[in-house]
Amino acid sequence: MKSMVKLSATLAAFTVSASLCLALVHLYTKPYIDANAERAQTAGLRQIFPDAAGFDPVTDFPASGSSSITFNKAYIARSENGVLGAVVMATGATYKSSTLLVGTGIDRVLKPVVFIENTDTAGLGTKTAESPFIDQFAGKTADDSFVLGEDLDGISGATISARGVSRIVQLAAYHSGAYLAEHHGGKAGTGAAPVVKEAAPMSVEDALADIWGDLDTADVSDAIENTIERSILFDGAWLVRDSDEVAGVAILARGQTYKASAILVAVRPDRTLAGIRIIETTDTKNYGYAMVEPDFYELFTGKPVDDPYLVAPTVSDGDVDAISGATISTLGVANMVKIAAWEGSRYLAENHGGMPGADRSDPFVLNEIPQWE
Amino acid sequence: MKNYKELFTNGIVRENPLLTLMIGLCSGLAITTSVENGIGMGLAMTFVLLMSELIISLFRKLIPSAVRIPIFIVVIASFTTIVDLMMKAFLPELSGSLGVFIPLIVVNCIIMGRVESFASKKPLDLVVFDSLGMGLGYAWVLAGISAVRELLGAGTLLGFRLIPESYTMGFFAKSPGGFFVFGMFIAVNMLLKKRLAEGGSAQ
Repeated sequence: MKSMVKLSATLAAFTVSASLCLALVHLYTKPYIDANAERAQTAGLRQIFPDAAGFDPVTDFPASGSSSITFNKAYIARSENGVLGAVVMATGATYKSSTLLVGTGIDRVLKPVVFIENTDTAGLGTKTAESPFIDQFAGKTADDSFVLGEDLDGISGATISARGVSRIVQLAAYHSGAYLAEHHGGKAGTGAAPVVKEAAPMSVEDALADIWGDLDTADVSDAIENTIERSILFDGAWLVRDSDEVAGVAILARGQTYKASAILVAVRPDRTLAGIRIIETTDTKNYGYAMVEPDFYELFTGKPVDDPYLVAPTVSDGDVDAISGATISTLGVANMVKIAAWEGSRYLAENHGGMPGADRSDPFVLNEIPQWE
Repeated sequence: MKNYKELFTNGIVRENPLLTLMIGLCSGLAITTSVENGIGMGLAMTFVLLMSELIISLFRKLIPSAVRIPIFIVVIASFTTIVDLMMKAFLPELSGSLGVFIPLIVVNCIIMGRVESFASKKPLDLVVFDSLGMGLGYAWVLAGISAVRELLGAGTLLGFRLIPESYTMGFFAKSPGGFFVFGMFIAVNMLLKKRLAEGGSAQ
């Protein structure tokens, strides 16, 4: 007991004196550290508006309206003659996350974008902070479309980071332009606020509405079954009618991707896909999970049911391009879509006058998903 | 007097923490891409080592053996935090480029090793020479490795361009280059040690 008290007292004495020392050092260095942070930020602001006489913090700047992008701070840059523009510090999801300073002139033209923080993969995602990618933004206007491959060049190997950064810049620029127009007589913009599509799995109802609009659907789950491959499960089917005409059928298929996914596959009577939507997926974030991005699933819209659905580069002349870094996920998706589309078309042909398929003398070739121990 | 000199050179060559004991390598390889980083890290480490060894040697008779490890850690962590805060306040750029490796001095085996095996048993005067020797032994290797890597990998030395950019070898700026240069330094140190030993026996 006595030794316990002695040990505790010694340990306590050391920790208390250490804490005191640290508190003193902290008190002493804090003003300098704060000043450094302030200076770093002002340096960023100066990079954007070198001619500004000062930067006034804005407190009533609107929220971003997106769950994945936050506006942390906003400043109005002013010269002696008036307002030059606005700077927004915005943080948003890229591959991991990025914090940027986005400056927009009173004429809605963008200034150079300055990175404050970037936690993406070094050498890949961090290329968004480097030339030539980052240089593309200066001189664009807040009303541009900011689409990779159209008015912006992406980064090979870092598409998700590049898309994330361009979304942050676009949203910050749009709101800066609107704020300047409203409060400081800035040039008014055209068009509505950019909607940052949060790529996410959708419910079956939303998916049906997204593909078919507000057409009537009837549950035909009992009429359609998977006769091809037992590992893929049909978990529901809906016949879609446009007044009296059959518009198509949608099948919810569940199966293995990298982990597992549920996909709604919609087929038209003319043996083409009306579209596919991802209802659920447990695949790895940023890899297989990228199937929820419209850029991927929209590739299937209009695709003929009788296409081979083989994934490139696993099959050299494959007709479905693998998601970068997620070949196995893509193989699973392609198999599910192929089977569901084929069964859906067969159902439409047999019951609702859909176009019949050619007699298949060849075996039903699916992508082979590698299995691991 | 001879004892002091021996203690001091012990850390610099014979028992150099990086080249002979091969401890504290992570930080050594991670930050040695520029001479400035190497020197900064080396000095930060020397400071923490010196101060921790001093305090622990000073109080060595008061520290019960049962709780010595937590006390060592508290002392080391405090000095590391002090260095970290001071660097953030007065050398913000260096602090930015060394990043997480400054707080990680806490878990650097060199410090824990010297404190446990030396400072907790020896009087103050010996401890000063030991910690300076070990600290500077760490610092010169870091500065040396980073000088080679910065010169060949980026073509500069302390920021001044000496080799045109198109003649630099990116290999040296990346981790494999770090291992390679580190290996070369081990070889040179072996040679030095051999020479020292021969010199010693000749006397």
